[in-house]
Amino acid sequence: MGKIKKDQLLGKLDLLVLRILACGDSMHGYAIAERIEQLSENVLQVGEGSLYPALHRMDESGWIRSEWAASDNNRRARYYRITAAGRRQLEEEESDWLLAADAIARVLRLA
Amino acid sequence: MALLRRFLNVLRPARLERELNEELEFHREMRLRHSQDRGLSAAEAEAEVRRRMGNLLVAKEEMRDERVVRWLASSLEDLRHGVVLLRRDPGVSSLIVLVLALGIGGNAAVFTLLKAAFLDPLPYRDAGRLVTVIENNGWIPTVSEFLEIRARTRTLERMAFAEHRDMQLSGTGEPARVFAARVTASFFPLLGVNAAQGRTFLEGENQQGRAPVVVLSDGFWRSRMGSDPAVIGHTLRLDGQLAVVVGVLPPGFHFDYPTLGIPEPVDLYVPYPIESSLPFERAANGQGVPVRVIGRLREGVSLAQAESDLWDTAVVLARENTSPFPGHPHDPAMFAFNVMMLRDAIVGSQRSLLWLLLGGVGVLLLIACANTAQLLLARSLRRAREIAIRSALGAGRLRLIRQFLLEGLVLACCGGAAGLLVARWIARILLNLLPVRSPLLASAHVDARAVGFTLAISMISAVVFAIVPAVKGSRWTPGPSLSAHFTAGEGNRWRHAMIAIEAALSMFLLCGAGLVAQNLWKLISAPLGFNPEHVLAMRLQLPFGKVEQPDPRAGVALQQYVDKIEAIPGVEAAATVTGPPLRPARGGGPVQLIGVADPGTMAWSHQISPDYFRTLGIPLLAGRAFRLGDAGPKLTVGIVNEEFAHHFGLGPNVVGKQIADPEGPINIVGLVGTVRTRRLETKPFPECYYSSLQMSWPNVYLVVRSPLPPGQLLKQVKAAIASVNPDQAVFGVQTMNELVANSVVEPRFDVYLIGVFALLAVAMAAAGMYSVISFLVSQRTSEIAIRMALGASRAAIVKTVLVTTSLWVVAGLAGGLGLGLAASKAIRSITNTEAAGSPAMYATVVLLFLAVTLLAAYLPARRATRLDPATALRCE
Repeated sequence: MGKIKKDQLLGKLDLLVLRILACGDSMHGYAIAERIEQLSENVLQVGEGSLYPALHRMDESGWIRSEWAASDNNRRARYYRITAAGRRQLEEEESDWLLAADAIARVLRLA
Repeated sequence: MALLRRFLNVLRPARLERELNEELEFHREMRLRHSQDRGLSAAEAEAEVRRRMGNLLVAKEEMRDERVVRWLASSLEDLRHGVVLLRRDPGVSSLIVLVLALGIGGNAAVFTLLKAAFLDPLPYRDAGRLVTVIENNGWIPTVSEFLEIRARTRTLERMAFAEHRDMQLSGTGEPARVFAARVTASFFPLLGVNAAQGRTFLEGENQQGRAPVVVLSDGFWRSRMGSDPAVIGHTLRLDGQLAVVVGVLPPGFHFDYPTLGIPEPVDLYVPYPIESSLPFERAANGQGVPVRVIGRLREGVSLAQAESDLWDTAVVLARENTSPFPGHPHDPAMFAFNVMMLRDAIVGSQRSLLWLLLGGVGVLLLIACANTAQLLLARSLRRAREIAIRSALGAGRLRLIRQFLLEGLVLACCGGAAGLLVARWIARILLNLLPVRSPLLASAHVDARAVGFTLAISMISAVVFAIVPAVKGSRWTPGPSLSAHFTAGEGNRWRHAMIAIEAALSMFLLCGAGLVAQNLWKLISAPLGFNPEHVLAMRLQLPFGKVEQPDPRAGVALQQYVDKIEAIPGVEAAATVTGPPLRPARGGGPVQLIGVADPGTMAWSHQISPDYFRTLGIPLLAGRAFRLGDAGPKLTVGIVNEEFAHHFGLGPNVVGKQIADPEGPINIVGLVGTVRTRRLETKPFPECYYSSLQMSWPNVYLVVRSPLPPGQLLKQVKAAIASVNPDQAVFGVQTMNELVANSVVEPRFDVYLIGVFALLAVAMAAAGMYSVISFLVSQRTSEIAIRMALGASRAAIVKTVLVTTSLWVVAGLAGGLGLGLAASKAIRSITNTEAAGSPAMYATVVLLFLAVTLLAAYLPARRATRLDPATALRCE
């Protein structure tokens, strides 16, 4: 099973992070990366070099909010949580993506 | 909120760094644990994680960028860099800061003065609605005019007046003169002042015949009463009458503006005794007591409305008062009053001074900026290599320009901060130099607005002086900039443009100085009409009678003093006069000659003792002077000046004509030369002299002509007066020469002031030219050396060095001259003078400028011609 290079993921990293966080709990960066890999059955691998700048960018954009809290192994970690604005952004990006994916699939199928 | 956090993050980069590290470190540890959980050894896990995560420096940079205000963060970086660079060159940097501190400090100081004059509230209640009522010829109303206005006004809600005079304080040791104001009871409530102890005056105390009361100023209470806490109820003997102290004013209160005709701080206040049935007296007729009238406009009333209200009053007064000339009813304009905002009246003639100051310091700051720009330009080009390297590493042009501007800003802020510190002192020094006491300007202080202004001009000057070096310095061309042989030929046109601007600005100031100086020269060279040498003038006031009524007995009493003084050996002549030249007493009115068709003219009048013309050296042109025999209870004789005769179309034959007077005709017995009575700059005015033995005020000037030294003379004069009346105080002693000099102190001060500014400007421009020419010469050393080696003459070398520069300087000079000519009208109007610049004055100014320029060019040019070609070329 091949792995998708992180550049190809980059465009949709925001979408994935928002979708993961939309499940409700606040999570730290490592957990988010793990979750994406786990749910994609290791097809999508998230690089730290893009994940963290993206998290900080979304934090500044107001889509997610961060706070420092104790992790389960009692270390201080930065936890991210989705905001209302983030949910709106997610909805938009999600429908855009589904539309595009659908369209691409149709082209591939019919051409 | 997020923005605020990003701002804060700029200011605490260490904390941000720590957080980012912590977050990434947590991630690393989680990965490590995950690897170890899969059964890898510690070392293997470590290696795997390092492979997996790689180098996160770039990611961290991106995260940091997200978390800060990016432009601010990079600006701070540039700023830090700028400070380092400035400290590397401390000599030039501190020179720049010093020059800027003086330039900005000067502007800040003048701003505080302007602010005190035009912006800061006056220290009175509701001062924005306070006005003063004046006659349209600039004189002030009399008590009876005040009463008429107060009775009829519909636009002033409250009115008061003050009248200032010297009083004799006796009973406490030596008789002393105090300066007193006689005021209405409404005076203090109108200004919103309550007594610090006791009370101010009651309404009824303005009636005549009430027991005298007095309110002390804080200064008088402290210095003369020893801050006696139980002073209320004490009595003082004022002008021979016992007055009860009823109050002491608060320390901050003062109403003593020389521009309002109040020459010195007031010691004490007494109620003005207003006669119940006062005949209507016009100030212009020399009857009635002139008083300083103040009032408060009703809410929402404009100055124009108040003036038209007063015009209605004037129309009524003209109708109600019969004219002395039958068949010629009064013109209401004779009774017209103007209303002026109290603040404008207080600023008065100092307005012109303030604008001159502002112009001067403004131009100086601009020249300082131009010089700073020169220095920075030279430095920015010296930094070409650094710039080239930074550009090669990816710094954009705008980023580079911003860096230069920020460095300028650092300099300007240092200069501004230092300037703010010196602004106070500069303002103090200017105030001490001021020829006229100015309580309004003395209240100038540095406050938030002054700080804001200083900050603003610092910013503006930073942009002004840093923009050219920034734009020129940030440009680079890869090859030459990086080569070691780079010579700074860049920016010469800008250098020249800047010295042209400096030349224009300093030339502009020189033109202004020339104009003001020419005006002063015109004033002091105008014939006075009298001889001020060896004349001592002093004031005295007879300690008897009602001071506001003319009375021939006063003249007789004064003549006794004069006789004693004339008996002193060495005294050539002595006389009394109601007001000597340049210190005229008020007095005058419409005059008509019997048997002459002219309807009459306004003429000044003076009451003089017989030897007055001899004492002042005023030429008698026809007829005779007064004699001791010209005495009696009513006016019978008069002497007129040349302007008077001229007005009626008469020459010496004016002698023998008669002046119409309700009490009988007055014979004109003499004609004298015209004297500059009012001020040096005012036109001659028709004037009449009357014999003080027929009519005299009890407060007069005494003039004594004697070659004796003034101190010795004064002692003998005082002794002579004391032999007649030991209680007679003499004050206000001045030589006539001092009096003449005093009358031009303000124009003279203007000349010194703008002259100093102009010289500073020329010196700074010369320094700028010197540095530019030196720079150009050093730039072309090798070229000059080669040409000399090839046999070029010294003249040719000088021409090479100077020709471009002199073209620019001449262009600047022409520009400055044009500016000066264009501004001459403005300067004339703000200094309130007539003088137009003469071609000779402009020629002088241009020559002076050229001389200084030549001096600035001579040294570097000489250096160029003395160059030893061999040495110069070897150095290359």
